[in-house]
Amino acid sequence: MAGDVLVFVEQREGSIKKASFEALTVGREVAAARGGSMSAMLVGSGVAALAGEAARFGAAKVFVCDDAKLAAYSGDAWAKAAKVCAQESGATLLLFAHTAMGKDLAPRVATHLGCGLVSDATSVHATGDDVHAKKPVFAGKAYKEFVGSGMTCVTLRPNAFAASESAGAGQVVNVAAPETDILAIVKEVLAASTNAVPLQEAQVVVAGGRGLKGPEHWKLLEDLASAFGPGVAALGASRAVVDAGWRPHGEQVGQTGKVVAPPLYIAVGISGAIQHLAGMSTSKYIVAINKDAEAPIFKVANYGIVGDAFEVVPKLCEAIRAIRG
Amino acid sequence: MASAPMAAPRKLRPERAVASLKGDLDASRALLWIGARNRLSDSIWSFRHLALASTEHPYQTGPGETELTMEILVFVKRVPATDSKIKVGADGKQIDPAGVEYVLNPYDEFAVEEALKTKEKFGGEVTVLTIGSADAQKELRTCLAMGADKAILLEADTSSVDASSISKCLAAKAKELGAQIIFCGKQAVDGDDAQVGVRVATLLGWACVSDVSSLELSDGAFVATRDIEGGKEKIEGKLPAVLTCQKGLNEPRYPNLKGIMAAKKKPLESSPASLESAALRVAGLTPPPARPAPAILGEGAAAVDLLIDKLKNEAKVI
Repeated sequence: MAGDVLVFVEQREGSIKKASFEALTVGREVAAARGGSMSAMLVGSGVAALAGEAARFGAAKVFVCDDAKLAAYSGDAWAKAAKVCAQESGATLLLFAHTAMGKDLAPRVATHLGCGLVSDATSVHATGDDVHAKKPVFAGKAYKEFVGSGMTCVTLRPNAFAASESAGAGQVVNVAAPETDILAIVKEVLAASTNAVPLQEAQVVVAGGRGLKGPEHWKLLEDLASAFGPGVAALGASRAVVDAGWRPHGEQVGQTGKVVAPPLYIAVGISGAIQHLAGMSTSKYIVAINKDAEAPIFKVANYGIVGDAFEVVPKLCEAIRAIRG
Repeated sequence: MASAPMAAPRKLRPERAVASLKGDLDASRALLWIGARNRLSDSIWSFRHLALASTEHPYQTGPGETELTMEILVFVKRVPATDSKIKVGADGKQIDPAGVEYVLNPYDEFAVEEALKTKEKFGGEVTVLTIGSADAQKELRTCLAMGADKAILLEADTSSVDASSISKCLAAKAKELGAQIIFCGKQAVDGDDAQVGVRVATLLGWACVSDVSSLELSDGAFVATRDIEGGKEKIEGKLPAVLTCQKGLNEPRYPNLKGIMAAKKKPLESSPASLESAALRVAGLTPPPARPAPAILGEGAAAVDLLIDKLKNEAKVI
């Protein structure tokens, strides 16, 4: 049906990504506004068991493409499977989470379907048959609103939408995996560290800049991050300290690094160059700790403390540990 | 638009081996013979190669002059520098270009560097390709100064097109050029779409890895790693392929004076492009939502208690 919405539900090793629950929630709301229904699709091997979880978030149908050949992620093979699910569902709006997998898969699916894709959207709504999706451009220095008519794909920024449950029928529709030569496939997943929280999924980001004076002082930030308890906080860094080799590229927040939007962002010793602000200014609450009262970071910070990180952070760490511990 | 996948890149410099096998056959005849054999046996030997083999270098005397090597293509884009302030233009859909400094998209620097490293390892030719205004010649010259061999500008007004229209045009050109491997930045820092490279691979029926942070190429195959949430994944695939490049893949070289001088003499072709209309309409461009008024709570460790109180009772985030 023209108003129907199909949501790609991402799973890794049998567990569904939180961002996919957000996408299911958006899909359910947009479908209701368009007078259609929301369905989900699951691609992989042994994924049929997850259909019930998609139903908890409102999926009327769950299209399942379950095949041993799809056990590991292959963008090209999975895109063909997703295309078949999309065609069988008859949906005209496809939603994905803008995760590493979603942003790799969605452009392929959109190309197969010959349609437009709005990537990394932070708001989506329907007017009649049209879909309006707004996304940050220039890493958040501006927002662009796109309108799609007919078949349209959208990827949704993680943490930008709330997830809520509302039971759906969850009728399972099995879809046969299309025959295809696999062109590229994941052979191995290398975890950064067993306890590390992915930067873009973290509830709290603790980021450091040149004000910390050297890589040897990162223990301070590690302690602050761990004070929030396990699985809550991730470490971030400014471009200056990444370029200086103090921290790995994967931690860089900003226009040429990761764009993050956690509920709480703590910037320590970061002055707030425009390209850094672009990567974190959609965070819900920003705390800045910096010696220089004139630093631009204070212009975006909900709460600022002017002071020496080496004096402020240990006290903050202790206080948070007292609450969380 | 989807086409049969191209064959894997040929082994490098086969002419030397064949020339020696042929013993007394003169080297230039041997080269032409290889060209003819390749034309018959291999669909990747596109019209461009036919032209190259039969007219551009009909009288070559040494094997070094026409090497049957990798056609390496790089997609690049001219974008506002990351330290630019972005203001919405009068039409409410585009940025106001006044005072904006334009540069080569930072992620494309990694793509150009990886293309040059690939050429250094396997031989071949690096072509940089962009769609845009005549102003983009500046960014193409930057790539030539880094070491690319030639540049192509497909001139078009890109203000009302999207990733769908751009990808179709680039895929068609890549096919025409007989490209065997394509590098591009993981995204352009203007639209932050992260779509074009992946879409082109899909149109061509090629393998693709996005956000590549390390790469090993071998004859006809590759192993790439890409960043995922909380780690990396290792991907194996077959060439031809499109690889979209992420920071960390390499350290892009700076153009030196010699490179800058050489770039002035390197070929830069410019021709008008026809772009399909966009799949999406732009409703408008707006400034980011305003942040709540900032507040400085105090100085030094003494302000921590107030901060904790605010985080707990006002923001409710701890």
